[in-house]
Amino acid sequence: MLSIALPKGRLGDRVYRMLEQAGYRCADFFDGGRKLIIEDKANDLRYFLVKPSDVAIYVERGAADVGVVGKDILLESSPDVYELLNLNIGRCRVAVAGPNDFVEDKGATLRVATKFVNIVKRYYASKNRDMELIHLNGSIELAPILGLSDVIVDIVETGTTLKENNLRVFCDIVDISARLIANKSSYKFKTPRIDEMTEKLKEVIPND
Amino acid sequence: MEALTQSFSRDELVLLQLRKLFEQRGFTRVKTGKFEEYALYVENKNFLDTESIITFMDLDGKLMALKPDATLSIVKNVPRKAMAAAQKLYYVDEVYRLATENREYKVHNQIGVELIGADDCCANLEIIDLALESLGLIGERFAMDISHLGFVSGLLADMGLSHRAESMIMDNIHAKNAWDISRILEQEGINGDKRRRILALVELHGGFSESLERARELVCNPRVEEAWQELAQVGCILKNSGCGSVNLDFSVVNDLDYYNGLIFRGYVEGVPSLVLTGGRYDNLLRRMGKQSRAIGFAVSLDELGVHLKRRGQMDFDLLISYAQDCDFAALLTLVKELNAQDKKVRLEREDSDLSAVGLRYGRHMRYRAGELEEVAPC
Repeated sequence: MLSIALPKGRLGDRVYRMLEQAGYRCADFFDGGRKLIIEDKANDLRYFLVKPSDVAIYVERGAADVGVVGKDILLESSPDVYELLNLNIGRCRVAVAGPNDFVEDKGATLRVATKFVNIVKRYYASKNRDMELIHLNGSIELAPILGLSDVIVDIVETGTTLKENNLRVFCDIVDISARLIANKSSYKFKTPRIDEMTEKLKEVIPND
Repeated sequence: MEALTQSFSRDELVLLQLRKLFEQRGFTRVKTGKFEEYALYVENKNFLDTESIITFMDLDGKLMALKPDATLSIVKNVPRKAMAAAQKLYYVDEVYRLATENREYKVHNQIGVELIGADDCCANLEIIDLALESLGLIGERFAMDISHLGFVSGLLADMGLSHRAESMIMDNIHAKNAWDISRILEQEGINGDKRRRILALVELHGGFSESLERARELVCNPRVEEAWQELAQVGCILKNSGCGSVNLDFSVVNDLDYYNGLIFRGYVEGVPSLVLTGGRYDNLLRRMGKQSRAIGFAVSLDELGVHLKRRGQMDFDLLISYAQDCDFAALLTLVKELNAQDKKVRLEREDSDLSAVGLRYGRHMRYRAGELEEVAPC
């Protein structure tokens, strides 16, 4: 039995579609309703649908053998797992954004609002830029509008939310996409199965 | 002995079995203290992350630390000059480290061996063989990954990478992340054969001897050649690894930076985290000005107790209920007789309910008028 942790919601559904294309069809996947665990006896698989930011925890601690998670979460929490494949879906970027008319005062401490604490710390440390980090959990866009921060660092997909709030991207920090990860111990004992799944998924990765 | 060990949890049992194994192989026990002068870690901060060490003042105002590692405390006592004979030591120790996943301090129970002495290629074989046997005692199925840091760093040294790119590539090698490595190589303008070599290094995994053959092709300079030869020597003892699999896997990394040369990691089926970690740490001794070389490994015991539970075991074989006015002295004599027959017995007052506090027992008896009578399960 191979356990797979998938992020609940749109990304998880897309990953399942890829698995289906790769030959792992599971009739019950969308009939599950509110079920948290979906068994696929035919393929000897078990799916867990969990909060996207929790996938890496399930895999790192071995509750799931493999999982799919956004690179942003891997960069933020640095779990000790194997990162076997870039699935090239759920693509977006982590970027610095601020009010359209914002001009950075290089002589002052930069106030940055974000939920990506570690990514932001690493990024500004690499530039040796003095900054003050403001950790928020949601509605990050509000911070510069209310003067809580100078800029924000957040996920940008299309940029529509930013535009609606009179914000724009100043620079990109890193490109994000969904990754297939595996627990290091599980990988040792289920190598053929995990390798097989990786190879099959490789065939169905969407092109740019 | 069998009866005695029944009451032990899995980690306690493993501890005893490993101690026996190490003593059988002529290793002697060394006991180090719980504390160590903080200065030891500052002097060796290239090898250990000093930021997360728990420190305190002793009565003389000296800064002390709760030991984050046992090896340093053992190595500091090794004489500077070459020794007449090797030191073969084992320890059972608690170490205090910061857990990266939740940034909380954790106490780790460890048992480990160290072989410190002159340059001796048999030392590698002896320690790896001991590591394989240890894993065999811990779990029915196990896997060991072996790598050589000289192989990886020797290969990367040829590439002319910036320091930053090299450390990013190392991180991704540890995660088997071929995709991000190929992107970094692209940014660094490395292509052709060099690129192919690095990607082959990442994707190489599997049975030791087949993988070693494939790795032969990656050898490109004397440093890598030397590492390959050392790995090849190890191959000869791996045939008798029992029900474990031994892999050559260059993604092996250790939390502690003092390793160089041969390193290895062991996993046991059913335990999601690392069970055994070890390697050669000559650099550490050289830095301390000692003329010896050393190799060793440690087994973390805590996770074993959590994940390798003895399933379905009762807390007691027998539950005996007694009334307040019974002949308790006679009952105690009876209990001792039952203990002598290897029965685990729990005495409880008549009105208490053990199942309500989650304890399980085999049979339930009532003590009445000097006799035990069976209580029918309700």
